[in-house]
This record gives sequence, structure tokens and C-alpha cells, in this order.
Amino acid sequence: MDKPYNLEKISSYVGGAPGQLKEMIALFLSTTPQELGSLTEAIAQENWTETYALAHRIKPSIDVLDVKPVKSLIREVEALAKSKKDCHKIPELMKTINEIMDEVFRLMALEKI
Amino acid sequence: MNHFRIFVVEDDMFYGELLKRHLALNPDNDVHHFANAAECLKNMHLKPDMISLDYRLPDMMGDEVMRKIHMDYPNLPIIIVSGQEDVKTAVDLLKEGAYDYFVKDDDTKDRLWNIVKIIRENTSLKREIDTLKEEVGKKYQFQSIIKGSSPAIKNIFSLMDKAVKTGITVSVSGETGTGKELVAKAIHYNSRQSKKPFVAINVTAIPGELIESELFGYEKGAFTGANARKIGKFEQASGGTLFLDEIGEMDLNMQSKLLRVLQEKELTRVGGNETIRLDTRLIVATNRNLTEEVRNGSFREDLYYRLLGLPIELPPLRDRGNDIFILAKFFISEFCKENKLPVKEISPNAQDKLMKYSYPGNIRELRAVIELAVVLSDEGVIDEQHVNFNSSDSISNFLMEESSLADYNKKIIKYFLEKNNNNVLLTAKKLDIGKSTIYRMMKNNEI
Repeated sequence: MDKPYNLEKISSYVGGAPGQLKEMIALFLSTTPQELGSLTEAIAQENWTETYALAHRIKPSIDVLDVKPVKSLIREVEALAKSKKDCHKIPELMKTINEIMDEVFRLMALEKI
Repeated sequence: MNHFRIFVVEDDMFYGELLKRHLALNPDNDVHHFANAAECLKNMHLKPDMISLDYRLPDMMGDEVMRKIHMDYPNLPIIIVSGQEDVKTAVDLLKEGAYDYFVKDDDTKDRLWNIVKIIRENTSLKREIDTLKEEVGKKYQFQSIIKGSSPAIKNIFSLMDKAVKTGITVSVSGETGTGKELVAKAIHYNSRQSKKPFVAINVTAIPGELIESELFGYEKGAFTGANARKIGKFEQASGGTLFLDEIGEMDLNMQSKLLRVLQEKELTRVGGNETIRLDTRLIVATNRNLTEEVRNGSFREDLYYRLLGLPIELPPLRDRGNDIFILAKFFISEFCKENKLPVKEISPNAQDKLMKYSYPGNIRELRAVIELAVVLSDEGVIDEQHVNFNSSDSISNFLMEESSLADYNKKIIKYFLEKNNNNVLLTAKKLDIGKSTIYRMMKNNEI
């Protein structure tokens, strides 16, 4: 089964250096779950301004890892939170994002560089 | 090459670190990552060469950070790298002085890399220009540019010293060849405006119908042949100095246009509507007597007073006494150095000849006379016969000898006899004197 992410872009950012790629994966695994946790919390609190800001912040990292299904979902969360319309859809979207990202974290932790 | 210091200000730790590592692939880049505006501002003492700034930061928006930075570092290139795909935000930021704006996407990596490359090249060129400007400034230090120690020239130094301390308009007058443009340059390169351009324009060198567009610029389509917008000399000299040479030759119509621009401190390009504010220091020069021109009605009185500012009247070389010798030695040394020749001395007779001449062409003429003398002298000494004056102002030179009337008569008669192949009758006729006068002088060995 194909991985839900792609390390090629990160690799190109660090000039293909395996050591640096490894460090970047470690950084991603240590920071992104926390960011997603904050986003989930903001959604639970129905704090849509914070939700928008956090979704906006996480977006480039998701893009650079090319986590395809999450790329569109995070944009949807960002747009809904910004417009503050149909915000009831956001928790469900976030649930899907967390599920996919959990799998991403699990597989990335197993990466052998 | 020096390290090129880059600040990456990005609140997403992972993405910020990624950009940092990418830019650090060039070992000449010294990249620092800050996760918020406060950290960035706190570290500005490190003097970054450019900043990649996220638009939306947790403690401040990008436009505010940029404004704060530009207050102290107005020319620092700031690239806004944003997740914000809003054209209006981008346009506003660019208007406010962002160097560039781009959205975080698949091209970010390459765009940032390229823009750093461009800014590095520009910074390197700017440093080179600054160094050259400094060298030019040194070249134009008063004592390096204006040689001499006569009281007349010391007075000029004192006036120039006053001119550099303010942005006052300076009017330089003096005979041709006295060094009016050099004085203007020396004032500019020793003034606060020294890092900005010095633009010189000679009013007589531009045809009358073109002078307005030369000075004020023109818009595309302003007249036949105006295929593109052209910036005028006033705008080119923005923040610096515009030197208008031979201002006395400007026609009355153009004088009134110039007066309006100077009064309003703004101009409109020919064929345009946009008003451009002026921040240009003006130095004007003329070899005419402008007071006389005003009296004759060929120069506007109101413009005269507007341009007068600090008047500096350069003395003619003949009134500068020993400066002639100082300048002669300087020109010898310069010419010999340029032509890889051993420096030559000036014999006492040659010195005497140099000191007696009237120099209607002033310093420019002295330089030409000296350069020719260096070329003509085979040995290490410039002698009397190597010093040749070709000035058309022979009468004043003749009178400079300060002889008695009787001696002048002898010289005149001798000159015409030689010219007429010693034909006494022809000479007497031409000078309207009796032939016996000539014979008597010949008999007495006076001629």
C-alpha cells in the first residue's frame, strides 16, 4: 500500500542529505502532533479565529509532505473557520484529518533513512 | 565574499526550519530562524541582509513587523512568504515596501532561492558602489581637487566649507577654465548628499527645444520620438545634486519654467500629469555676469535671486600668484605618472615665463601648456623654450610684460618689420609712421 505522504520535497529542500532528512522527520514528528492537538482543541472550544490561524499555519507543512487527502481537508477547515459559516462541519473534517495524520506519524516514525 | 545574513521569520517550526536549511545549502548564507516577530526584532542588531517574513505571525502581522523594521533599516529587503492568497494584501504589502511577496506553494523553495541570489548580487553591487563613492569622495576632498595656497583660493575653501554644511543653492562664477564643475563636485562629495547622485548638465550643450525634456523628463508619446518614458536630470539627481553649467545661456522661456519648478519644489514630466516632488540640491555656474544680464533683461531677476544662494566667485589664475607654480608642479607630476615618465623639474627661466603669462584659458590652459612642455623637454628639466602659449589673447599677454611705452614701440616696429620681411616702407605705411623713425631706431640698434 502507498504511503499517504511523500518525502521527496523535504529531501529536495535539504539538498538530498540523508542526515538532514532524518532530522527534519524527527522535527515534524515532535512538533506537528502538538500543532494538530492545539487545532483540535480550538475546534472543540469553537474558537474559529484560533482555528483559522492554526489551520493556516499547519497548511505549508502538510503541503511540503504532500499528504494529499489532508491538503484539501485542512484548506476546507481554514476556509470555513475564516468565513465562520457552516462551522458545524469542521469537527468531522478534523476527525478525518487526525485519523490520516496519525497514520502518517506512525509510518514516518518507521522510516529508515 | 562576506557572509550574507538571512532571517527566516516563520511560526511553523517545521516549515521555518525547512526554509532555513534550504537557504543554508549555500555555505555563504548565514541563516537564522525566528518563530515570532518579537524574536526577529530583538535580533535586528545582527544586521541581516534580507528577511523572509511570514505574513501571519502569532504576535504581530507581517505588515506591522515590516513597518517597524523599515523605520530603522529602510532599505532592507523583506520578502513576504505567506499562506495568504489574497491579491489585495500582496499589493498593499508591495506598496508599503516589501521587496517581493509570494504564496507558500510548491515553487516557494526555488523562488526564495532565486530571490536570495538576486538580492545577494544587488547587495554586492551596492557595496561596490558605496566603496567607489567613498573613493570618489576622497578624490574630491577640497585640498585634493583644488590646488593652491593663495589668499584668493583659501577664501574659496572657506566658502565651500560653508556650502557643504547645508543644502543651500550655490552659484559658482568665474572665467572659463577656473574649475567651476570641480568646485561643484567637491561640494557635492563632501556634503550630506554625497551618497546620492551628482548629475551635471551644460545648458549650452542641449538644443533649446530639448532642454525642458532633458531637465524634467517626458512621458511616452509626449512628442514625436518619445517612444518611452524618460526620467529628467532633476529626477536623476533626486536626493543628490544637480549641477547646471552655463545657466546664463538659458533662454527666457525656459528660465520661467525653471523658476516655477524651483518655487514649487515639484515638477511634471513633459506630456505627463503626475507631480513629482523634488529633493535635489542645485549648484549653478556661469562665466557671465548675471547681474549685468539681469540689467540687460536677458536673465530673469526673480530667477537670479532664487539661484544666487551662496555665491562663489572663482578667481582667474592670473590673480592667484604662486598657485600657478603649485598647479604647474601638480600637472607635471600627474602627467608624468599617467605616462610613466620620471617627474621633471621646471627651470627658473621657465618658471618666470609661466608666472608672467595671463592665462585667459585659466587652469585648463595651464594644464595644456604644462603637458606640452613635458612632452617637448627631452631631459629632466622643462626650460623656457618648452613653455609655449597659444592663447589668442596675445594683447593681454603682451601687456603683461609691463614695459615702458618706448619699449612697446620698439617691439611693435620690430614685430612688423619681421612680418614684412624687413620692408621699411611697407612697415611705415602700415603703422602710419615716418620711415625715418624706423631708420633712426635701426641706426641706434634699438630694433
